[in-house]
Amino acid sequence: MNNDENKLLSDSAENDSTSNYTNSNVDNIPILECKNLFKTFANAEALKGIDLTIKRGRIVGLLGPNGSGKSTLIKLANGLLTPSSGEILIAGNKPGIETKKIVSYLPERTYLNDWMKVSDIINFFNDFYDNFNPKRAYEMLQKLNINPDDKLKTMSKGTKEKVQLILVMSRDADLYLLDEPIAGVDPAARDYILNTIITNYNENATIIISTHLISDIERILDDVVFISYGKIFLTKSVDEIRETEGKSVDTLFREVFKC
Amino acid sequence: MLGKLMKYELKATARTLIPLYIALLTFAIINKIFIGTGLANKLDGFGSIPFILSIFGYGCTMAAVFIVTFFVIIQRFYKNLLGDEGYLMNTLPVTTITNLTSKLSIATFWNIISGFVAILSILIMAFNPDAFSSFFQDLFKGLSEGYSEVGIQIYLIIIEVILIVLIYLLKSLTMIYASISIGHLFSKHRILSAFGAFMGLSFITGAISTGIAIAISFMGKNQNLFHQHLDTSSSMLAVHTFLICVILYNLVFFTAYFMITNYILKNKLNLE
Repeated sequence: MNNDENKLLSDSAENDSTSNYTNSNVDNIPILECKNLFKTFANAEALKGIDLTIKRGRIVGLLGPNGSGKSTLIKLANGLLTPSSGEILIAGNKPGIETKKIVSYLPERTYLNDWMKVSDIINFFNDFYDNFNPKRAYEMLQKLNINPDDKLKTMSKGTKEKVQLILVMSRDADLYLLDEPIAGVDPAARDYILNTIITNYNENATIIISTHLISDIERILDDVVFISYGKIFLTKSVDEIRETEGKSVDTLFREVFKC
Repeated sequence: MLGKLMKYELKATARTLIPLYIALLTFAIINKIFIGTGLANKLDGFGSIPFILSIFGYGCTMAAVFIVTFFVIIQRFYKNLLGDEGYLMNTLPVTTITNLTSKLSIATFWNIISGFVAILSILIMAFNPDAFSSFFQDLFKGLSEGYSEVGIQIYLIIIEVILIVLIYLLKSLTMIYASISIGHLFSKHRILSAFGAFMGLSFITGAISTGIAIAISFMGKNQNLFHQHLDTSSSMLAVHTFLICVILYNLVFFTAYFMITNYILKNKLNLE
């Protein structure tokens, strides 16, 4: 995670003693690293000097109120925005073709066009992403009762979101960036999706979930990053929060960002 | 990757344009039946309504082919790269240049096909076996006469003219892309800004070409290049020089517009 002591730990190739995961054979380059990252738009500063290091094999909650800079940070990691200053690195590389191969991104928008069938889009993903696993996608579709021959035009917003999440999670990526992945999905499907997320990714992959539905995802998180007004407010492991603060992440979030 | 992108681009556009082509050719055939059977002359009063309708339908479809081609090209760029679909297209493991090239090549392709289909529909209606064979006879006769008079140069000139048309097409398309991209730099009124950018680019292009035309006409007067007859080798050279200059001129603008578009999409992308 962010702070300097953890950086030292990750540099020194020793097992991380502050968290209880073991990732013996993983290289030491963090999967996501931000160095003094600024992003300024014409009318506002969205990110004001983000320093963040996220290692492989973690499920991280990127939490913050609306407009805190969560989406901006995720867009920067995907190369959809370019930093105003500072640096963002994915597995040591600046966003580009190489990073796009290993990053699986779920935006907050529906990016699927209306006229394709689900199976057409699966073919599309299979064509462009070497690490896409169509078999897994079809299994998940079946589980959620989505017909692959349906056109997206006929689907509800929630179903489209499910399809999009299935596509994203069917890639064997190194880094999953999920921007509000469950906001439009009913609670039952939410549970299934969260289970899919934790069962379907390999242990060296990192998942970053941006959301404000904290109580729903709290149980699957390893670490949390609180972001507020374009700055990192706090980075901690969930266990740490429970032990030292004696609170759930949800409670802590409500306290920290109390209006 | 370029091939795959082009494949999907072709699929996405063909589903709108192919039905229109079929409609246009169908109207042309219907009109041909009316004309060919002499029915068009025999019908009068209310009887001629079907023929008038089919002519009208043909005219509308013809207009639609070009309007829709134009619209599809803009829409594919704006919606697929700068709209919500841009979240997918801009995070594919391909370079911005590859993305742009796939859009541009397919847009060029459809422009050419639309032109060919329009000509084909006219040929269908005007089809007359005798006139046809004499047309081709005349064409080849003309070519061989041209060949005997100016030699191999005539083919070179034809190739140069085709190149001019092609590069002019590329220039026009990238000018549209560049305008939309410049419009994208604004956080509000992006479509309006794109129109403004298009006017601005048109004005700049117009001003530069006027400047060049004036400069050339002065040079031409001095050397009297353009007042000579075509049959001397030096004037052949002048024609080639002129055509190649037009090619280069359009090529420069095409490159500039392409680079502007690529720069904005790569560095200034800001999806809503």
